[in-house]
Amino acid sequence: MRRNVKIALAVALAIVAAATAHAAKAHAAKAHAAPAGDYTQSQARSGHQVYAQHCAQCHGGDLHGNAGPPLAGSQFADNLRFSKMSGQQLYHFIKTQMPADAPGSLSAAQYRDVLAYLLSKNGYPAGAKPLSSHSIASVKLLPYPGGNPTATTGGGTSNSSN
Amino acid sequence: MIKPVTSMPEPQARRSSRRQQPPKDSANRHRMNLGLAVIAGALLAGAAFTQTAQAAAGNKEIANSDDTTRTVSRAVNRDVNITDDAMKSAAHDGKNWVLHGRDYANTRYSPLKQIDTDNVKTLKPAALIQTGMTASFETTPIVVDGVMYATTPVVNGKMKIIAADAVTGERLWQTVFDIGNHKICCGPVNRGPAVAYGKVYVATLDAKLVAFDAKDGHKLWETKLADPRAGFSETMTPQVYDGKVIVGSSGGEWAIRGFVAAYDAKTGKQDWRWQATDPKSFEGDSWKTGGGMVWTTPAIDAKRGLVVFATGNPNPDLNGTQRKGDNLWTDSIVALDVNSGKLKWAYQEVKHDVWDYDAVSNVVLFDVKENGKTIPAAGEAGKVGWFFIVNRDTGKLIRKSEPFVPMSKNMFSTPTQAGVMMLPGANGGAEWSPPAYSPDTGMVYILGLNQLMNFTTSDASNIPGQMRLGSTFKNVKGDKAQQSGTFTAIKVDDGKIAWQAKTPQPMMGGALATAGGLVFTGEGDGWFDAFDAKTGKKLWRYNLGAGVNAPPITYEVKGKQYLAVAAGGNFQIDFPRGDTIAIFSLNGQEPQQAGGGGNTNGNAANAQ
Repeated sequence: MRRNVKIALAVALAIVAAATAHAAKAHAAKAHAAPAGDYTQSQARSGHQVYAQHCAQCHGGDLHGNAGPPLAGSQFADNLRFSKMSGQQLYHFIKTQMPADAPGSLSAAQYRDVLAYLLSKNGYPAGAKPLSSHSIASVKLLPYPGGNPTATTGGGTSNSSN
Repeated sequence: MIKPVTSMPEPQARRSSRRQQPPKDSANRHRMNLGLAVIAGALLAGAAFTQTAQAAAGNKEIANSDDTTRTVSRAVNRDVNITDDAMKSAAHDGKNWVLHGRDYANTRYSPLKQIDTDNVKTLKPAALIQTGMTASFETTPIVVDGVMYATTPVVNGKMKIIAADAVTGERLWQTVFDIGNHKICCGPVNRGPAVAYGKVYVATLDAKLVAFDAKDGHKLWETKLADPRAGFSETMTPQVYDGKVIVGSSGGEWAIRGFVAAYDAKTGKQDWRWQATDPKSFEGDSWKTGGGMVWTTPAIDAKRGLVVFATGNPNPDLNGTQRKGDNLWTDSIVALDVNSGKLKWAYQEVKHDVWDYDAVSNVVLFDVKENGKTIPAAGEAGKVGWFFIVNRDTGKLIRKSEPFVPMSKNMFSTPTQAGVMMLPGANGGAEWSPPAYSPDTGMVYILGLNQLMNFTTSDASNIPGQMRLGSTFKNVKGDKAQQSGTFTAIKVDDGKIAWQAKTPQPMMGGALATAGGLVFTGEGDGWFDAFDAKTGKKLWRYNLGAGVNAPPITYEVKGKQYLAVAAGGNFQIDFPRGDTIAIFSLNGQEPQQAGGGGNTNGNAANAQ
């Protein structure tokens, strides 16, 4: 019996420790994000419509990519970490190169709304002030707010014959 | 003929090997309480794994590794072990289609002539392989002893390799595997598998070379070729020669450096690697990210020991201000020593390209007559709109053809911020589409695009892993818009156009020539066409309901000739998508005897 109690205790302790760590992490993230989001919810909602019409065909309705690269989730985070891109650089790229079949064809407000939508779908917090041509310069994409990306690196051979 | 398989052995052994026995040492037991708790958890997880594997086996879906699932209806029991001899003599083997370009010369010419100019009008679908992967389809299937191997595009991060009966279309096995993070310009495409030495080799969009067993599709090994985050991706079919698997890399719109590399066909270990950019011909360090990607399968000249291929544009595509120089060896026909990867010769089609005029279509090897002499040659249909023919011993230009697409008078103007409208557009000319060469007619058959484009420049900032065009590609829309195509027969002995068919859409896919006096190709609006190879007269067509933008093949099973082509449309020109590989024969499908020979899956079903 005592052994069983010990096992239970150990498991319980582990659970409590994990939960505490999780809460602390969530709290830290919240504290970090709280001051000011870079866009408004309403911008992200408008951006969703623009996205559905002009972007989803290649990047997927869920932003996880298909013919175009993913714009949310671990692979997107992986790409951000690799490129160390700023919000301004991402905006500039979208504005000049997208949609791929008609680059630069949307209005500046539509491009900003799309960026707001991307930010919202990746867990960047919304705020009270809308994303503007001025404020884009201060948008930081790293650290990425979402979960753990899967690392992809070059080189090496693996064998898995069976 | 084909042995039914009840079900494939599933890898429970590997999964259950994760189980561990609890330690028997009781003396230290109280210290190990925590360890026991952890092991209990591991046991639970192990049980869950085993259950998943069992459920999967019940559906005949077999987990091969964490990112691969395969389904085996019937393991292949024919001789699909393609040897070096079989590949070297492929040109004379009408029955099979063992190499991407049918032979090492990439001619896509078949000696089969059962289907000819007289009877082609009775060509009808015999079977449809519906792959379930609806996207831009560029695969060239391989057929050996009545077994067809094909790859699909990537859909939702997954790709399929399918082995099917080349007559009935019935699946033998299929393997579905995950494609990781990747960056692509031109659709989630794959140009087909290479099959050799009992293996299927596939190069993937996430820049890997993967080998599978040709009999049942299980994964043998994979090799990472380059870093996909930087923009390297693989769209080409590898070439296999003398124990080596030879691949290049796509990704010309990223700030990376092109290469061709050879890998050991048994182990996947790299043998040699040739880098495409010559530092002496690029300003400063720009050669390090100067492009010259290799998008399509090389030809092999076994006699001369050469691997011959085409290289793509320098990067940034449309802004050359930071990469002054000729930018060798971009936009070139290149020959390497196939054993060492050392440069033997090269010919640059476009110097200091700022129009994205790649050499991207497959190089084809043939002989030409020049001043009464027969000269071994290599030819490439450029995006710039000429077919270039060079001497295979020296790389010197013999001739370039008459232009096979309209060229505007202001062609080769330097792009400006305001923009310059020019023909050919940045898609070509000829895109990746492989041409065909018929020794019967001495003609090469080329797919061309006619798209007026506005060439502009803009800044080319270097952000790692971000597309770097130095501008944008803008097709001209409205009244001045031109969107059409050409299918052109060019005589290699004088470079003159023998005939040209005009098509309502730009052409992309590939060509096939046969000893039956025919050439086949597909169009973006779904038509699969047959022409008289000599005259260009259209003799037959069939609409497959999605863009026929993949190269057709032909082969023979039990004395009967078949054709096959994928109809999956195209991303780049937005042709209607589909998922099907269609098989054709004279008079279409023959009645199949129910329960006999063909469908023997009853045993597999009963086994559950």
